Amino acid sequence: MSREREITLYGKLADPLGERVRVAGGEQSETVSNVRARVAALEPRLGELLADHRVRACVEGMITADGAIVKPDLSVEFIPVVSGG
Amino acid sequence: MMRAVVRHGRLDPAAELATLTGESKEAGGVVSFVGLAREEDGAVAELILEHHPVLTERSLEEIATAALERFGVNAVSVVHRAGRIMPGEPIVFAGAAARHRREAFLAADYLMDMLKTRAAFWKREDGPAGPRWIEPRDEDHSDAARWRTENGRNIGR
Repeated sequence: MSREREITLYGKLADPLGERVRVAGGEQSETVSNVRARVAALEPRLGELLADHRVRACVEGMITADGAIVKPDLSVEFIPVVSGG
Repeated sequence: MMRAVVRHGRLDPAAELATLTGESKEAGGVVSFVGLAREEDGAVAELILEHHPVLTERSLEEIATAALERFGVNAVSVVHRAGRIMPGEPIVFAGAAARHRREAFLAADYLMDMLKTRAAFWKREDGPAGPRWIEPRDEDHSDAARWRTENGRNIGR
C-alpha cells in the first residue's frame, strides 16, 4: 500500500507551499535525490529552489548526502544556505 | 565552561554577562558582544529567525567549543534568540572569559565571525516592502576566512 513521506522545508524553501509537505514513496527505501525530485515536482518555484546544490537534506538530525538511502517512513528535511546569526 | 543556547523568549544580556562572570572565577577578564536587530530606517518591521530543532543548537555548540579550545579561555557563552524579534531587541550574546584579556578579545571576535556565517538560522526581514530572506554578506565570509588555519598556523591573524 502506498504511503506518504513527510517533508519539512526550512527558510525560503517554505515560501511556495509551507513548511510541511508530503510526497509519495514513504513505503520504500529510496535515495535522498529521489525524494528531492519528488518534492521538486510539487511546485515549479520549489523545484527551482531545490535545484540549488547548496540545499542540503537532513535525516534524523544528520546532514545526509543525496546518494544516501532513506528508509521507509523516515521524514526528510531540506535546508537552504544558513543566514548565520 | 561552555554554554550554547537557543533562546525562544527575551534575551537579557546583563543577566548573561553576570552568569558568565560568576562562573569564571579563574578569569582575569570577560569580553562580551551583544548583537541587536536593526530597524534599517523603517525598512524592517520585524526579524524572523527560523531554527532547526537539532542542527541549530549543535552549530552553536560547535562554534563555542572551537573558541574554547582554540584560545584556551576559561569560559565561553553563546545565547542566540530564535523566533520573532523586534528592532532594537538583542539577538545574540557572545562572551568569553579568560585569564588574560587578549585571549578573551580574540575568542569573542572569533565567536561572532563564526556565528555570522555558520550558525544554523534562517533569517527573514519583514517590512513595508515585503519579506526578504537574508544570507551572509561577502564581508561576513571574509571575516570568517580570517580564522582559517594552515598547518596549525593562523592565516591573517
